[in-house]
Amino acid sequence: MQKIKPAEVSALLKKQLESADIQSSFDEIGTVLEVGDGIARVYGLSNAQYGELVSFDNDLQGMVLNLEEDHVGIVLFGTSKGVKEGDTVKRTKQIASIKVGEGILGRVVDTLGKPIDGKGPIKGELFDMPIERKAPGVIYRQPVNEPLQTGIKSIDAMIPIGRGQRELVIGDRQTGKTTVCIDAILNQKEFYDAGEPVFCIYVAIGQKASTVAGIAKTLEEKGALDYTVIVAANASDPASMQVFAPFSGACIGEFFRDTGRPALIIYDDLSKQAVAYREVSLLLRRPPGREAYPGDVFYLHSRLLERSAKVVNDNKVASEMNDLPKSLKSKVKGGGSLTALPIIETQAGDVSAYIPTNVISITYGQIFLESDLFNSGVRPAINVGISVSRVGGSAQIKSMKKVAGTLKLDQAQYRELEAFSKFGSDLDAATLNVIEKGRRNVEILKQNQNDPFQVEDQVAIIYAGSQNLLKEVPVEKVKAFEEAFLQELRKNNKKLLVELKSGKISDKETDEIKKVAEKIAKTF
Amino acid sequence: MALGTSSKRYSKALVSNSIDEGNLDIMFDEICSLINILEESDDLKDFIANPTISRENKTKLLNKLTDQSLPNTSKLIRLLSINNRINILLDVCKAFVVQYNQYNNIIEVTVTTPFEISDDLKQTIKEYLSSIKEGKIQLTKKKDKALIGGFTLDFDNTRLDVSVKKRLEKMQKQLKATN
Repeated sequence: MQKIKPAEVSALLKKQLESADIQSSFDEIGTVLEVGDGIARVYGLSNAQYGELVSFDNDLQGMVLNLEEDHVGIVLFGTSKGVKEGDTVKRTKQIASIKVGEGILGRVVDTLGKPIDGKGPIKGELFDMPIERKAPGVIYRQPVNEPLQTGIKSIDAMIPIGRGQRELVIGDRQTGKTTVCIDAILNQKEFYDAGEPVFCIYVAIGQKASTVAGIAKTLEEKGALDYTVIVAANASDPASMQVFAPFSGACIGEFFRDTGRPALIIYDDLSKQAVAYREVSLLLRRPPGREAYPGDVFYLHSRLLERSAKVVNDNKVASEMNDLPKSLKSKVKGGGSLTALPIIETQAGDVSAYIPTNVISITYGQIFLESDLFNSGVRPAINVGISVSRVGGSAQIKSMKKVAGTLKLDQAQYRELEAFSKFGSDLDAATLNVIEKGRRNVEILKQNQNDPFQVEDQVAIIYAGSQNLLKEVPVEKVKAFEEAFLQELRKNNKKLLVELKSGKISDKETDEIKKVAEKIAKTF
Repeated sequence: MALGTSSKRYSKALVSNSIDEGNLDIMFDEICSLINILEESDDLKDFIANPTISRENKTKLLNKLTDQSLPNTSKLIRLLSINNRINILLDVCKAFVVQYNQYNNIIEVTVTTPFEISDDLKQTIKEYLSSIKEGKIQLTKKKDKALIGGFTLDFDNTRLDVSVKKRLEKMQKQLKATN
């Protein structure tokens, strides 16, 4: 161990003391009238702005949310223990913001951007990003044109997501909503390794701390934490932290978006955020509306999801983007994107409840997960019949678009005919053919947890399925066929896979796939 | 709620009524005495706040207290009693003082120090304040040993804290943050 010299320590302390800023200035203050349930009512602070941060005597922070005639309503970012009637509250004259930089990758942070993973402070250059920020205007956006590969066959083929899109993931509890999103994060490893990372932000709202720890562990084990940030407002955190966690996540995403890079954000889940917002609003004595949610719960979600965008690929235009934080201005680049996958949990499949209908109308489509499918072994339990993606099609790579074109129709036809087949009546050959093909396609679309597929593999196997190349393979052996088929392609047809990945698919490629599929099918 | 909306409205009406009748200063003196009476006696405060005592009884007692010495306030007490608002009497009085000060452009300043301050020092503070604020400065002294040294100035929801205590706290925070 190194010897510590007392003189050096004293010199260091002296230097720190000298550099300490103890200048005083006039502070605007208010007095706490009442405090409780995470809300403080404060007299004074007559110049406070909406959304401004204020600090209490015991260094607790809060945000001004209600400006009333004779007092202000403040939500506390912490426990109200230690705040008493008559305490002074100081204005900070700052709008709530968090510090974001490259060093935040791989970390677990809370709503205020403070690390909670015990790995010390966030390193590197940090920029102040405001939690509440207006979404980019029309001229700074461009239509979705690049795919965001989720690695899930049924999504990438039939409900494709583009970079900058917002696609809702909706379903009952225990239907695999989180799994679908975590798989999408894991699939970005391919791009991270290739040096074109899609940065991921996972926002956990009102979840058990153990669940969040589990997710962080999974990501770490699969090497996905290096390009991921987890923002956690756990079930034990105050409602205000849960309300603003998605906004903090969005401002981390904006850091990547505005510096010209693609990012993916997952809000898990917005129904819990709405519930937390309802709690805060009712405590602030805002009038309740439908299902007791406040009148502006739609705006809560619309302004959040509006922040995901594909920024125009022009540095000059992008640098003039509205509401750019001052600190970030020199770093702004065009071409970035922020893709959002908000999650909504329904109760007993009721999508016509208030919050689900709101978020459905804000997003560009939805991925619908069903417990019946989940229980019958179709996992991911995506109901492709009612799931849609309104803009993703234009972002699909050509080969996938061509291959998956008929898949959705085929599957819809299969589901209709399948109902007949259950009566056991005699069916004609054409109907049987459709049913048998559909069954095999369902098997092909099944996928294990944490096992994303690369796009070229997806194209190859879906082509085989949609061309009915598996008709000789028994349904229960489709998975084994898939494995053998892809292994064969990777071993002997590397070039073909490269072509498929680049989007090329002509007769030459399809013939090759056919040949390999027939060869493998014979072995079953 | 102290200085809530309703007390503000009653006080505004009272100020405006007193101006019309030309007895604003007399009213101010009477209200100040009433505040003293109300603040000195906890029993009286409890009596007024107690919801089980009828408003007639509350009014009777207050009238007895104020009839002779504070004739002008009886009007206010009567109005509050009719509107069943007698429990906010103290708040109305306090709000009246704020309104009166605003009307007369008086700035109430509280100086808190850990020791007694001399008149010279008081004058210096007054001079400093009048250089940054327009209006008549009314200085109230307060003693708080916890400040250790220095002083704090409070006026108009603004505070200047140049106490040793605050500086030590700041220094402690910064040293903690750097280590």
